[in-house]
Amino acid sequence: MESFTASNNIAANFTGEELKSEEIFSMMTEYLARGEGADLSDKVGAIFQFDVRAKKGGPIVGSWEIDLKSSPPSCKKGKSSGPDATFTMIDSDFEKVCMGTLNPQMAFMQGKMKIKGNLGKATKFTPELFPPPTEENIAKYAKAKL
Amino acid sequence: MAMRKAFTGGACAPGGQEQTMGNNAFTNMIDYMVSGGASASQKAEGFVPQMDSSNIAQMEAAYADQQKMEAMTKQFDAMSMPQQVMPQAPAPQEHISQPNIDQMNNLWNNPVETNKHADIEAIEHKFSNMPVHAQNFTGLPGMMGPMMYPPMGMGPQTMAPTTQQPTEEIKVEEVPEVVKVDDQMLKDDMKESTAYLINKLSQVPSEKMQNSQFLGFLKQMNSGALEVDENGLKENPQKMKEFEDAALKKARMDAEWYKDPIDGNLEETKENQKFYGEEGIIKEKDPFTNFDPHEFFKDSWNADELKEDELQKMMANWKAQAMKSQDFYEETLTQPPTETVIQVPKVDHFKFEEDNPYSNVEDAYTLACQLNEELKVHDAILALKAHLTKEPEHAPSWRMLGQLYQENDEDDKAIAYLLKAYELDPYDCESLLYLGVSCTNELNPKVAMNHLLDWLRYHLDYSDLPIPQEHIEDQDLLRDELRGLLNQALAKNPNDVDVLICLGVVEFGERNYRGAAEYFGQAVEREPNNYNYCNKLGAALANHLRTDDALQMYDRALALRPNLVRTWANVGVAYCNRDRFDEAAGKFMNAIALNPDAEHLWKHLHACFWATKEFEKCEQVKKRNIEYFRGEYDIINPEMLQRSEL
Repeated sequence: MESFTASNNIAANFTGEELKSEEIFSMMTEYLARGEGADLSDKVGAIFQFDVRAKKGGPIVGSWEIDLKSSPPSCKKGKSSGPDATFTMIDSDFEKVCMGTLNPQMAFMQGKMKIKGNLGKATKFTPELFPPPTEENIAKYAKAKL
Repeated sequence: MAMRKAFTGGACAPGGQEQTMGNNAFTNMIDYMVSGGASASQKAEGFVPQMDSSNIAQMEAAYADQQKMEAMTKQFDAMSMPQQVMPQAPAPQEHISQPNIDQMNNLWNNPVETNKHADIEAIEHKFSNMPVHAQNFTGLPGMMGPMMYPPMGMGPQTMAPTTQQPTEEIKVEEVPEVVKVDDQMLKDDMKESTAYLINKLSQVPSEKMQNSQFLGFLKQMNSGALEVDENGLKENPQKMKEFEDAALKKARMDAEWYKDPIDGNLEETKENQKFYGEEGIIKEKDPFTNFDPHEFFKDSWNADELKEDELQKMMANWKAQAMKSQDFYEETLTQPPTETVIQVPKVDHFKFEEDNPYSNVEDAYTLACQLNEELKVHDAILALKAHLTKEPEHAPSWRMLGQLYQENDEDDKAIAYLLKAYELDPYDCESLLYLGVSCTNELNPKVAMNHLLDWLRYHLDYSDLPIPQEHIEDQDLLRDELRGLLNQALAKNPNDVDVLICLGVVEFGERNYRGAAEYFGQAVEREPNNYNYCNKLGAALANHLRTDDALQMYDRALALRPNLVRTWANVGVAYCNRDRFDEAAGKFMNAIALNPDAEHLWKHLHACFWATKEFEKCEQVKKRNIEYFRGEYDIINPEMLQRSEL
């Protein structure tokens, strides 16, 4: 059992490439935890789950929940208990959407992004809600390590 | 007149307002379905049939259908426009909160109930009191924007009435106008109203709705495959074949669409590049010609998702692999190069370097410990690896390797080595403690906590505490359990600083940095010259945004241990948090000078120069040319450092 949970950890870390989404969600988590973006709860009022695949057709390697309904809003790793909408996409596409180089509507049309749940609420999630995951921002919201 | 009202949905309201719904071929079609043929067509043309019992039954049936129609339309609106202002219709008793797909489907399947003892006047009374069903067709949800299928005009009510409606009294005796409704008008009307309904239904995000018979039926009507004539519904064989062919073709095309080898990752083929351009934005083909929203949505909603049993299978697979331990590590750790800012091939953690200067030393482990004391971390690591090549089962060597990598700010490798140590010696509690730390740093608090649970379990002093036998999956439960147990341990041994550290690590993992800082603060009080504790306290303070206090702690740690890469990196991060990127750069450089193998340090450095827009420096960072900066920045020299300490 020990080796299982440990290798679970390893497998998550060594999926060939490091997930860009991991970095991006870390940044979002920190951004929200610092109290920035506190108005998002009023603006959006929904809970989203993101399921990320490493590559197309592959299994889901990471899930994150962005809670923009509670006050204060928060982001955490792991599946959500009650998402209003769930987005599924591959890691690199998610990064592109967050950076603004791939339009989310376009992603949806092309089948690069799947949405389940309340479409109306899903439309409220736009990359502009968060700072773009540029190197600068990722460094700015980086965390100290033990 | 009442008869016409029955089938026209009360189109003539007492106030003479034009009702927006009902006076069209669709409702007439309802009549066909319910009451049959000729009489219905007569009604469509405005004839007034005689009032007899059969007519009454038909009226009731028609009324029931009318109600169903209204209910359904209300539900469509409720589903697709939850935030829209509801029409100012005085209909308090018709509150529809949840769309009920089954109910709606069943509306069409259930037989109409007839009340044999109908009172004509009562029915008429109901008709005249039916609410104005003003319908706001405000179009489709915002996401689809301008690209989306435009709203169908204003729905069926824009259709000019086929008959003139008298504006004053509505009495049974009134003689209706006779207007010939020609076939083409009927057909157009049908197409328009079915299209409207199809549109509304397609927006409902439910598989059941998309696959419902009713929707299919509507589509057939819309395409002309099903027609309405004086005998009722009729199939138009040619159009039906066309419809079915088109549906089949669409299904095939959609299957192709999803097999299309366009993926967003780096291996896009040249062809896709040409087609989709730089960033996946379509340059050549416009995807919105022939865009059919309901077909498109249908396939999206039916798309695959990872089912629970698939997930279980995947995890079981990992477990099986993990059982092969060494093989597993070797397999998964030799990975192709990552596309980061800096291209560096990943190293296989367990393939140690061939030419190792310590390979012929008698007891390399002891030597390694000594080297570490002398701040010669790089050499200590080499010595350990030399020792492990000879004695691969030596758990303390693996553990020390893990510890050194952790201090060198490489948690991922640290975890690999620590797990190896633990595998060889489950009672090696220190490994578990280090594992708890590294897993927390890698943002895996649940795994970290389970490691700490094991630490308690195998600890000589605490194994008699009520520790659960199995690992706990639920993170909240795990956290509470662990906190309780650690507090019990502390009560048992108030001087055990390790327990304090564990408590701090748990809080840190839960992002409770204030709590973590309290525990680490206690640890530092007990052992003020422990660089490890100072760094932990600094980290907790920094993440709690007490940057100045954190920097003080970091300074103390570095005074005790100048080559502590982890702390240099933490200092850099602290400056980045404050947007002081130019100062941060210098700190990262020190970290890199001490451990050039740590990828993320180079990335951080690159980020600093990107932020300050010193692009030439970015280029040098990409080339990993640390010497370029030595003039401008006061970078630590590892050799000098160690000599001066002695």
